[in-house]
Amino acid sequence: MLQEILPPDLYNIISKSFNLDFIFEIRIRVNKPIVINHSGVLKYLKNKEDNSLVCATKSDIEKIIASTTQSSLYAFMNEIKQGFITAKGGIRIGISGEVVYAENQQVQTIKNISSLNIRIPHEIKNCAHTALCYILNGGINSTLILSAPGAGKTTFLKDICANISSENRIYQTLICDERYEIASSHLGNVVNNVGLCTDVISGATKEFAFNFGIRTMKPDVIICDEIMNMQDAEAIKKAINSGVSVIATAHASSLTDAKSRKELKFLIDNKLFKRIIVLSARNGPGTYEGIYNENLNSIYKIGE
Amino acid sequence: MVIVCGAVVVISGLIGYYFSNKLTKKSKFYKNMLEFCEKLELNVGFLQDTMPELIENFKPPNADMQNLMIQLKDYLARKNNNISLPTFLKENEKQDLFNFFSHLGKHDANSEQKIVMAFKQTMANKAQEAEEYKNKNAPIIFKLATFIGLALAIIIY
Repeated sequence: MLQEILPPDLYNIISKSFNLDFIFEIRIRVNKPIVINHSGVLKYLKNKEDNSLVCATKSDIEKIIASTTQSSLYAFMNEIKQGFITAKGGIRIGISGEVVYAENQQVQTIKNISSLNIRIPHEIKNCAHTALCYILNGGINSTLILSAPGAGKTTFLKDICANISSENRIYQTLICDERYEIASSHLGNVVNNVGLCTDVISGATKEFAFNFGIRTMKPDVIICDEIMNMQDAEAIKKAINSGVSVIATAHASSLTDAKSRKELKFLIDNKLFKRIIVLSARNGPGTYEGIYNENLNSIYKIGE
Repeated sequence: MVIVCGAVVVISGLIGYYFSNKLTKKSKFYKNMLEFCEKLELNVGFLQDTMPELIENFKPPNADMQNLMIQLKDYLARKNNNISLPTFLKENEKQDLFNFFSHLGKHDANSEQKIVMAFKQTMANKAQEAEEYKNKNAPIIFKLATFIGLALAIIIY
């Protein structure tokens, strides 16, 4: 997959220096050394011959953007406005550069892209096994998964998806994949293993996807990524009050952090989530910091 | 001698046909380009398929256009840096087409649509001009070449 995205010379250096299966991230910045996250360890990319650091050029970034968008920028504008592009195989490329605003103060585009963060998804089977014991407790409990970035929230969420709509359990699952991170649909194909009875709405806001999905797909559970604002929280409240369970993630390293965010405080105070799981990367991504019920009492038993 | 004279007439006729056929090819090419622009405009404004998908689904009957589409796909995928355009096009016409191709897929939907619409208008004008030029000149070229062939044959004979 990386071969189709990276310029050939860059791909050759990376593939000779690293085992591609263990690359989590590739950080590319104009005129700066390329940094590789290899199994959680950050390393500079070096030329094998003279051990010099490999720096990226503006042309490298342009080539990566062109190959990822298949020279069809117009088809990826909604993603670019949100600061990322999803490539084949669910690879997500975060972009940063100069943001251009339209007259209505909406983001029009991002120009002069100067940095890319190529995130390669990995499937870790049964990584959410422990959490599932708490989530599947007489039906599906609505669950909020909290962690700081890079602590394995999305990998965790994907595993929950795969497990609740599998050969052993049949829950009609709807994924609202606003940022293409969970199912990683690319041109109509669901790339990641997200279960057998799973429908996917990609690229839509939670407000739209929840309303549309509940009416049309009649799901037992809706799974969505990062809760970002009050509109997301309202959409989740509406879904839960309609009798649909919701499993969602949010950026927060603890319950205290979560309660400092208006939208998460609203959801927690209204006791909409029956389970709140806090993860960290303390002992590697996906470390359990705690599992709480709706009253914020810890119910996590270590070793379960 | 009769065979030689016959050959002269046939060769002249073929030369005439070659030149008149160039005009026909050019007219067809521009019509296909116009069709491509229409599909492109519709795609950018509605379906938003990627360029490779659009090109894959565009099946022009004309061999020149088919060849161009293969090259365009490679060009957009950065597998080659140039596109060799049909020889019946003038240098400035080739340059206009190349400029258009080099702008493809580099803008948001609105800008892309505007570029395609402007180029579609150019293609419509070109297609009309090429058709009129062909209708006016292709039969004359063929007849003139055949006539010259006949005249040469008479002189030789």
